Amino acid sequence: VIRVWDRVVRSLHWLLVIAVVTAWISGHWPGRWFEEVHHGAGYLAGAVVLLRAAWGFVGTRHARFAQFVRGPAGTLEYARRLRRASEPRYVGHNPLGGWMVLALLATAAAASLTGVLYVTEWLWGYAWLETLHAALAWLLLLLVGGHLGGVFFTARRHRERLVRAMLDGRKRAPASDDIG
Amino acid sequence: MELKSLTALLVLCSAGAAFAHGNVSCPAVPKEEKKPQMDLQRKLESEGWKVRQVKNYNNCYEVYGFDDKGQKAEAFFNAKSFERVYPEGEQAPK
Repeated sequence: VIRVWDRVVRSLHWLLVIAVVTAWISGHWPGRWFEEVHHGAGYLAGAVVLLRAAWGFVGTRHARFAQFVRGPAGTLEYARRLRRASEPRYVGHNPLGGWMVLALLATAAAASLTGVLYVTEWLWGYAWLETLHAALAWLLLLLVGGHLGGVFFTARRHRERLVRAMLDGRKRAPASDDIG
Repeated sequence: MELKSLTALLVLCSAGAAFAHGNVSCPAVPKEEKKPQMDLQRKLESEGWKVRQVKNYNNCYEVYGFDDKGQKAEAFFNAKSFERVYPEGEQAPK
């Protein structure tokens, strides 16, 4: 067993989960505390994404974008091997998971930013911005679904407990044909 | 653990839903008795408002923009009388 996800990665991951779930629910069922709850969750999500992006350059090995973002060729090759059920096990993010991380972070950032812009005097009240913000929220839900699907699929395929790995950071050490 | 998280999520959802549309509402009015949104917009603009969006919300018209004092406003109006409706907890100015 080795340590893969450092404390920062794990904390930011679960903070983002809390922020996005809270923002999504309070956004679709606005209540009396809409400003406090929805705006608070949105700012938290934005801050978490910024910190995670910075950590992607200066963090520990498996936290770095350079470690897990592969080019189109490598990603397609992984997808092909996935279809033949012969894809290697990655200790960090696999190539598709890496792109999912980027998509999730970018969409969360865009949702947060459009929300902040909506309450500035400059863009307050415009329907198109509200629509864009809502569309980003739905896209984020779709991506979260894909992320969960990918996690549970990969966990079964390689007989790992990936949710727990994001809680304690520990994963099975790489075997000879795994990719560390 | 997944089951627990799912349950927590559902509880949160229903807690959120309990607030749904609890804030402000207007009496139901037959469609033909509602005045057009555009009339409300024109009326408000003649009073010095800047209107950026008008939409339906719980039988009210919901207006986003800036009021006659230039303040950011999200305001609700009766669709028949154009009387302003204040959400609970929000005070009508004297």
